[in-house]
Amino acid sequence: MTSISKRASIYRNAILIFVVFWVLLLTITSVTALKPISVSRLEDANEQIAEIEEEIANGEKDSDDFRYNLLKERQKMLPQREHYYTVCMIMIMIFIVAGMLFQMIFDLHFAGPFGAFCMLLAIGVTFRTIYSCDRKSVLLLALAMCAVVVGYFVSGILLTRLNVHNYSIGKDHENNRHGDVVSVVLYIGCMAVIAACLVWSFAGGITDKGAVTSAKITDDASFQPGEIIKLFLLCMGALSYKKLSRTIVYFLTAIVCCVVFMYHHDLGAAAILATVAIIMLILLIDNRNIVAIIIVSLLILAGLAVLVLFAFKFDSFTYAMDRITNTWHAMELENGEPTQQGKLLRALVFGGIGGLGFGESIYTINITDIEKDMVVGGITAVFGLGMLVIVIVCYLITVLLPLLNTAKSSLAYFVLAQTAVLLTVQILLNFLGSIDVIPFTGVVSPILSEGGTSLIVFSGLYGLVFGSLNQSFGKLKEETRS
Amino acid sequence: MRRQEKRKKFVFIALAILLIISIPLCSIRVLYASKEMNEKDVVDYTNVKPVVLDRNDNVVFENDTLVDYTAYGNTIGLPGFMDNALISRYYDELKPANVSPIWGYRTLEQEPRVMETTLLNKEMQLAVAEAFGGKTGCCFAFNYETGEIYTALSLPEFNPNNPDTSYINRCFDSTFIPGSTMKVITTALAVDQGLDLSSITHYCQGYETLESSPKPIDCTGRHGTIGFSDAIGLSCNCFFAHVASLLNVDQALATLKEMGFNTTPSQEAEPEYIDRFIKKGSSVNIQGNTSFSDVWSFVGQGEDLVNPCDMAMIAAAIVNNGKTAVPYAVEQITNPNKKDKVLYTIPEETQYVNLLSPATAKTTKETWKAGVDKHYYNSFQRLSEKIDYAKTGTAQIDTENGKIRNKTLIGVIEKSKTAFYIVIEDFEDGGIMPVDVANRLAEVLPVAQPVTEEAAAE
Repeated sequence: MTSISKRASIYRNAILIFVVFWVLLLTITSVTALKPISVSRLEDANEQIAEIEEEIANGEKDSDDFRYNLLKERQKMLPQREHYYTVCMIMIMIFIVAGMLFQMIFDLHFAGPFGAFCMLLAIGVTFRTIYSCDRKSVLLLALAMCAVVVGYFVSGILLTRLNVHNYSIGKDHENNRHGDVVSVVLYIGCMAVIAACLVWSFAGGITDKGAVTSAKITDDASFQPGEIIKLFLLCMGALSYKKLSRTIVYFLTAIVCCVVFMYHHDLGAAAILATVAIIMLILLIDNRNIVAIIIVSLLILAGLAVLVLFAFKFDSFTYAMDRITNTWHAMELENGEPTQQGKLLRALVFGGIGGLGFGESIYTINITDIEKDMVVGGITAVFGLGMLVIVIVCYLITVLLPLLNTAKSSLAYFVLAQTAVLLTVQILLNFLGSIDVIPFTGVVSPILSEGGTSLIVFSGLYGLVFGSLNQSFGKLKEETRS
Repeated sequence: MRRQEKRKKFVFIALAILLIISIPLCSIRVLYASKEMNEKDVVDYTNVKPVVLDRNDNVVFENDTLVDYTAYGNTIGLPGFMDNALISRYYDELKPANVSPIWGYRTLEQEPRVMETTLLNKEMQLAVAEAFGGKTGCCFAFNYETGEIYTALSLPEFNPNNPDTSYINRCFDSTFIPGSTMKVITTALAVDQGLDLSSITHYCQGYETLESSPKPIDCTGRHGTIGFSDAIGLSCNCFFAHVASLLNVDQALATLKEMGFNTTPSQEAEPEYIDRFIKKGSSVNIQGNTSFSDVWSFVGQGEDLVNPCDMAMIAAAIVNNGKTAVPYAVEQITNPNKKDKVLYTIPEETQYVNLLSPATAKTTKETWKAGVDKHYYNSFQRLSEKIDYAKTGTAQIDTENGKIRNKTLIGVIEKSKTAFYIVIEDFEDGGIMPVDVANRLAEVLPVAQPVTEEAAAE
């Protein structure tokens, strides 16, 4: 038994050592390839800046010119790009090694998902570096790593504090006042955060490309309420097991959030929440009659909400219909220019199965938001089909593997189930939307996409997943053994 | 527990199905996108654009730009601007291979495809264009033994930078009233019908009255008693009005049809081609040989409309035993990316077309030559001795702003085996004559290489 455990431990460490070497290889290859590209792009930027400055001097252009400022930023970023990229990758390697040591010391079992997560993190950083990598990238990565750690410990503490019998699947419900109080407090806390985010989305919402997806904190900083809502709604769902009133409140909250997202034209986020909520409906409720009543009530409520929404803001409907009718037409020119999805499809075709590579990645530079809303397609276009397979396998390992193998507590189970649904739907919406298979939703791909709130929230969510896999936290461990 | 496990399986299967369905969907979308991609996408990516060479292998078209729009604007054109020009007509062969969705940009062509043409070099084209003196018109010249088109100059030239540019090539897209150049054809008709040209004489009193019309046929002068050669040389309308009355109209129409004329212009004609240029066909509207209009048709006014290419080919057939090589401008198109793979080439054997019987051609040629020798090499006609055959014409055209005159010239230069047809529109007295253009053309044309023995024997 001991030899089996040792062997398993060796395998787990081997996985992480492999990931470290893979990240190292990726770093060396990328830095070598990026250097000459940086030089030529810098030369181009310098030339263009000189031209624009001449135009500004002649009074033909304003010094606030968008392109001029963009080029100036590029001019500042490019000489230090590889430097910051290397720092990011070293941070990831250190993070993996730390995880490995942590795993060895506490005999934990998250090597596969953790390794896959780190690979995704490395792929995301490498891809985003093609477009930009600076001090902010390093800071965001550090925050994401912190979020993983925080999520991990929060998950562990929750599993320890909430009575394992109370939230264990297949075991009879036993009253545990302490666990109930904690879960109620957590539940209300989640609701409060969601409510605050919804209010903030109205009060400080920033409209970008017709949708309100972020809200202002200061003049220079903003956050995406939708991403935070996803995380806390997921927690609400996990805390609703065998509690009918909480389940109903959870669904009502989900519907309110969906309606608000639709009102803000953020149809992607609304679709994701709706999907997760429907799956949770299937998972959470046991009594079929109650299920039927809830479904009918919710459908009526949702229908009314949508009707009211469209009555007050009819352009939401036309906006959505435009997206739907334009699907599969991305290659057709729009005002003489291909759409962003059309440009990405072209890049995918030019990349072929081998991808464009760093050298030809310049072809994707003018695709708007390729590092955000089109990241999976962008990675495939630049790094090829092989990298897409790696990305998919990593996502499967981080999501579906835990879902299949562990269900030691209901909280863990529901966190994993919702995360699986959330991530899969989000990745599919991102990839299929970016290559024009389904209407474009502007949904980011977890971990891979650029974006502060998304990266930190999803890192925290992964922390919860890793914590849910962990069976060694004091009380839980004992109870599971007993 | 079992229920939860079942539901877990459901979630897992649902997600797996979603992923599995999305794989073929994505593949189909990318493959569909690759089909939707066109040569513009490929060219935008590679920046590889076709190259066109003149007959001396000088580059005349590169990076979507012509070295000179006057010289080649209307013949070679630009993609997307001129439909009836070489670049557009041969675009299927010239466009780079489309991208493979499997191997991507790695299979794209790095070298431009090359079109070799038979056109004269830029300096020669410009020399001919300069001879037009800024007038509107066209000049079509080709080698009647090999078929090589030397020039298909059309003015005003196509130039995308000029808002008032012309998007047509008058050599192919236009037809003109031939004026007296038609008399060469009427001569051939007379020979073809067995008339003894040497015995035909007519008294020209400066006009010719017709029984069917109160209006007489005006002449260029009062020539007195005149024979065939002199009538050609002096362009006597009265003489050719008399010849018209001697012709069997049905037979004449049949011969004209053989020469390429549409003799039933009320019916829509099939599109005609010179190389891949779409050519507007020549036509006559002759019902008999007595009415004012029909008689004028044999003289060259009436309702005749001729295309410069057709007229040059008829001139070629007259001096070349009734046959002429089919004109072409593109020698071959090669793809340097595949070891100079030939994508298009002219047939190994020269393609000929018979327009007249050798006997008809011979007699017509002799009669025409006699007229030219006697009346064209003088200070009035100013024809260069390098040109062996020529016949001028003046076409009266009614326009909204009154009558204008087009000057036309049909001719042959035997040394360079070249037949040509020149039109100068809206001629003004004392201005540039087509003869001036022809003389310049004769100066710049290359000396023809002897054709192979087999071809000559044929």
